Amino acid sequence: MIEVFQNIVRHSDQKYNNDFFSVRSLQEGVHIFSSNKIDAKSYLFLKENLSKINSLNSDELNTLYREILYNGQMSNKGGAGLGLIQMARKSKNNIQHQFNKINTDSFLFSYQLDISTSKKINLDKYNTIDINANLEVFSKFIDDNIMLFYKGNFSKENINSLISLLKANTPQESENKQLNNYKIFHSGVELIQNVSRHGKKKGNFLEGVFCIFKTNNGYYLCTGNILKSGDFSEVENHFNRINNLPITELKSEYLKTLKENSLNEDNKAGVGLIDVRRYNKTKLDFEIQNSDQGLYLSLGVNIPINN
Amino acid sequence: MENFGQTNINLDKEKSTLKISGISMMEDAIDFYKDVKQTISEFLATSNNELTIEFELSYFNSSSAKQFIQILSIIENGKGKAIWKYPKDHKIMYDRGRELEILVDVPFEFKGV
Repeated sequence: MIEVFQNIVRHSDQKYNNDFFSVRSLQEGVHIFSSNKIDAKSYLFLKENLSKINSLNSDELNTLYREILYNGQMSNKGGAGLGLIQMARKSKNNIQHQFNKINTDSFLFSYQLDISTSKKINLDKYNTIDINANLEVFSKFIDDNIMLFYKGNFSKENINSLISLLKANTPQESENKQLNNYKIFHSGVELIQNVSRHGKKKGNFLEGVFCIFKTNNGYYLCTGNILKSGDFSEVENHFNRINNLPITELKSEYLKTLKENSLNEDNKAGVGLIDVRRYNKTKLDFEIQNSDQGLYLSLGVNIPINN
Repeated sequence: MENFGQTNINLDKEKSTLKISGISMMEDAIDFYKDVKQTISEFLATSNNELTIEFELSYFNSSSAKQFIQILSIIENGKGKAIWKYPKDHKIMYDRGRELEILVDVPFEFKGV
């Protein structure tokens, strides 16, 4: 995975903002996909070497790896091509790849590693993802301005990583950057922790979704998860009540609720979403659906950026 | 990755101060601050001095806000005071301190640092 990241840095055109990186974990394998713009020189280098690497068997790859390690051949951008060979050796599968011409000087380079999660199983065409499926996902993300989509365990470590990614990818430089940065960060923290607080666990696994969209006037953050408790009308009433509070009353509601809840010896402050609404001055966007495992809550918030 | 869970707690019994600093955004704030509340109560039970609680935070989440109210409630009724240090020119962190001040009967001192 690190090699895939490093290849984006090594070969990508820094002025191009649509670099894409994804990891999908299915039953028998992990599929790491990336797409970035490269120049014509990198195109020729990668095309030739990926074709060569994919034609070699495991022993031949090992031999080539050692040869390059000793002789330092195959290099044009400091990577020596060793990263590509390492990826092919580790994945034990062909590196799926595609080049799409953007103009005479640049190409969109997409490639995918398919790695079996079990040492006993080699992935074949029946239990892998075709690179075109990930290219479709990539295209959908670009069309919808999705900056980040995460579906997985909301463990403490993963939550911190999501918040880091949110912060790193939404820096504000306008006159109101203090307020804008605070709104984005605070909304992200409270929405994500809302999932970990109210989401339904299966053993130690709490599955949820977190997504960041870029909008015309800011960002849209959303989450999705199965709720561990509450009935439909109770959850609906809770969100309607917060949404129906006038903007001018949100601060007093925040203070009143915080004071009341501070008398209880539990972890519920009950003011996180009031605060999200207070700082963004937008309504909470929510949808509740019945599912086999309980109520599924989709929650989103529009974060307008003030200039 | 940045360590967002970094909250520092430092009790100086000689100076009768408790300092809470860093970023307080843990989801399980009740567990994190349980020992802090107990330590404050024990200190006040065994000392004749007032306790100064000094906050120097760059961010705190809603779960932490509730714990801060509970911590400050322990020093209500003349048992101590709060010093709220906030990043200079950071109006939001200043305001957040003012909101806590409203909710407890504890003298607050504000310092931009």
